[in-house]
Amino acid sequence: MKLLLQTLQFATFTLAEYARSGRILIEAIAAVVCTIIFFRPEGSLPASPEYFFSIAGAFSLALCFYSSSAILGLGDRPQGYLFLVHGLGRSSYLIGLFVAVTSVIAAAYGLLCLMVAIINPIAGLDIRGWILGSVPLLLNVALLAALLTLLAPMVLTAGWRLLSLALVALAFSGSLISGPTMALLPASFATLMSVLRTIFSAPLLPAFTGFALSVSRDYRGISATVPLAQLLLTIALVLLAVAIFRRRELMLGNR
Amino acid sequence: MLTIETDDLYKSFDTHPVLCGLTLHVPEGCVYGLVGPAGAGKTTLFHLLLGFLRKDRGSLRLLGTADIGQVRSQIGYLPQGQPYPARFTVREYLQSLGQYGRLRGRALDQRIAEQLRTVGLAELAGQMIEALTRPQLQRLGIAQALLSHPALLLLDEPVDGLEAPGEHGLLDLIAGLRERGQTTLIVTQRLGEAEYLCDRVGMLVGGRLVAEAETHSLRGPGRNALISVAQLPSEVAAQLQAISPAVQCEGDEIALQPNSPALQAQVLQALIAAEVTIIALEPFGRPIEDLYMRAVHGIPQAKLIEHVPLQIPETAGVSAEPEPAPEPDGATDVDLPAPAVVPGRPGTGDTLLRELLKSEDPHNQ
Repeated sequence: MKLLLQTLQFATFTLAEYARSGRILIEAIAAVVCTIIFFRPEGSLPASPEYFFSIAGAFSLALCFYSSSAILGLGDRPQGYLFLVHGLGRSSYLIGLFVAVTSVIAAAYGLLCLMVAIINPIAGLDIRGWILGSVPLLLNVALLAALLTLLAPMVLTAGWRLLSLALVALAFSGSLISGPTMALLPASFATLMSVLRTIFSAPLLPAFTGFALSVSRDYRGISATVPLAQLLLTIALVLLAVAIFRRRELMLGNR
Repeated sequence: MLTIETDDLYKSFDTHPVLCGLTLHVPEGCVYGLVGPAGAGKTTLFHLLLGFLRKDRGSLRLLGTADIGQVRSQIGYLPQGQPYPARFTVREYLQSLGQYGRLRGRALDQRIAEQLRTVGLAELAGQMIEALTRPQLQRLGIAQALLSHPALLLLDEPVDGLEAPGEHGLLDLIAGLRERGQTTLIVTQRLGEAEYLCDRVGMLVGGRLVAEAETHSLRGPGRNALISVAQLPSEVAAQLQAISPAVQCEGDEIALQPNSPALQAQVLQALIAAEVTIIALEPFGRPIEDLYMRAVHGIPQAKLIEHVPLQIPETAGVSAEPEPAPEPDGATDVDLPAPAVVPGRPGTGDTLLRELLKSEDPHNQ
């Protein structure tokens, strides 16, 4: 209970600081620009639900990179020491930053939805459909925010960060190093690559299927478990980040 | 009881050693000043005391326990550099910090009001932090450090970057905190600040405590004196210099280096007898400066520094066998305060300091 309360208190403070600094205008402007470019009434493409969730999903994930960098940067400053000295736990500190990131993206997504609903309502998208599409979309945002929190300089050291990024690159390498190229590689190396890709791309599955589920909003069969997988993977990444951060030597803003 | 107790404490970053066997004992209620050049390990020590860094080896105990997490709420910390969020009011910011402590609601508001009165910011409680001046920001920093009524107060360069008026006001404020009886560790590069505020001062060089002294033994006039006269005839100057090699005449000034009551009386009598008009008699060469120069740079700034009562930690890594200090040229026995004795930590003489600086201090290599 204390962890939850402190986390919410620190997330609220971080959000207040972020909003008062004016940086939140970037997210607001991005949402406006996205609406004008992709959802203006006289646009060339029809605003179908699939189109909406494709664009909104890409928009939210792209914005997540910026907002995570900005808000996690707020946490990686010497003033963070004062909160920790005053009794805020390290777990609450890091989770509070994560909650602030996801809240800002969720707010930007909400603004985007509101503007689209006002200026160019999506035909065939009711409240139920909107919720069904938004849940996996926002869970994907949380998943990416959790990964970026784990990769933050105050959590992982430079070496581990590089290794993690290399593993992510390896997991994504299927689209770059495909069949013909693999055939040119020595058989043992190609096998090893395939095995590693399979292992390391497995955690990405909920993210990819989540994106597809958001667009299709088809929860039949195994798809119904996708949000749960997204949620569990997000929790796992956040807990991993917290476990590392709790053991980390802190030199905030001094790397 | 010792509030801070470090023994043979080591900390390095990668292969760069920062603390190299630091032994520091700060008793309860003591205001201790840690002085040293940049990079001496002062801020690293604070981070260790706050539990943000882990020691490599050695022992570290705060408020009687090695589990710093257990006592962190009893530590108040003023960081260097005034890192406060600009777009909050003073009260909002203190509330946001204080909410993680034991106080809530009205009790927290009362505590905040009390601390703001203590630091002289009561009227600025509703002011945005970005509108505060540097001295006011530093007062805000002290207010937040005092918020939980800490048993241990850590102040990192409390008057760093302040102009004279703000600095004096802040020094008076910190000096006033002594009445609370808190143990306070002040890290500073300013000798005057340490001398004014602290009961005891330690010199941290190359990650080790190379000298320690009670500040009362370092206060007071310098142990050299300068007499200014209207006009000093050459025959009188020769007469004075014949009294002692410690008397040096140059122009219309007579330096007594080192001074002593007997020597001073003798010189003044000679001047009066020769009907020389005396304009001023002033001390110069403060003991704390001498101590610092020798500890940090390894050079005596004044000859009498050999007599400064020093406390050298026994764990400093050199022989504990005291050696007689060589008498510097022209130095004579003078009246000096008795050597400051730190309970349980006997001094071993300043010869050890020289050896230590010669063998260990990277600044002297």
